[in-house]
Amino acid sequence: MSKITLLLIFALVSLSTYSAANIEKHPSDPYIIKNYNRYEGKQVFLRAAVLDIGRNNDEYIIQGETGGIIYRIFVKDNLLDRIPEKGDLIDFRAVSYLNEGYVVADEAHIRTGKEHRFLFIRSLAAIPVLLLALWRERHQLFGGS
Amino acid sequence: MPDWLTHVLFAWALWNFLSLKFNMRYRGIFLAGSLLPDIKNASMLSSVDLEPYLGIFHTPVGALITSGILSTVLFRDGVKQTHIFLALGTGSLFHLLLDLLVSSMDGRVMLFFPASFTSYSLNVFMQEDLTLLYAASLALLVSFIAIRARCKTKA
Repeated sequence: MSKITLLLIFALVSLSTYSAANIEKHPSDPYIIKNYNRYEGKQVFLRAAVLDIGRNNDEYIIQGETGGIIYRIFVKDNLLDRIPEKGDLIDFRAVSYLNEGYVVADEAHIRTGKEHRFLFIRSLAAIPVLLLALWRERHQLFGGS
Repeated sequence: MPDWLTHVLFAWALWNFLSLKFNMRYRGIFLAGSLLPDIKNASMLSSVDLEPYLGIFHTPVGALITSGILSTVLFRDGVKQTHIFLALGTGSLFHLLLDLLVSSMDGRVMLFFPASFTSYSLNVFMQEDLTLLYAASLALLVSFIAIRARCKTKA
């Protein structure tokens, strides 16, 4: 392995470690869920699967699940662009009260389960296109310059 | 992120347009580069939260370093390494540019990592919106027409 490769690998590992060490500056969903005590009363960004929907006056009470944790999402109906249903995904910005099992959303976006599955299927469809393109230039790549 | 098909079709169109002007090689590698930053999604396959570590693949610096590693590991020839690095690197940066267009409440791309952990998004399209896929298909079609027209002109 050449010196430049080793140097690049060292740089990548160092930056990766630096990123992980500063995870509080860009917390992932699992990190927030695991350390919800630290975010009590603070703003969080999360994505949840919609398990159940209830309604109270002008707000929805969505039972959501992120990383195996189930909690309630209080969201005013005027924040939603569509009526949530079971199996949908909800992205939201909210104030966390996960100690008490709920969050209060300030901003939310619903994606239907169907849209989510279609997104996944479209991504899978790219794989054969890519493999075909690589296969067609295999001689150019590995058959000398 | 837009879906991978959108990324690949846009990258293919860009490669076609660039090949009108430059002597382009390694289309497949360019297309692979257009998916490279999504290595970070491998964290979804793991029960352990790997996102803090893999997130750097989805930054310009991380994508370029990864392109550099792949080009130097897979190939010995210096000229070929440079071509592969350029193809992978440009494809990766194009991926991040497209991801920037996608709407996100907390941002999509840590543009200035490692100097800053702030993620940015231009909030132009929703992730599930098909507009980008249609635009990619159209761009690819136009690029093929442009290439065909140039071939006819040369002949």
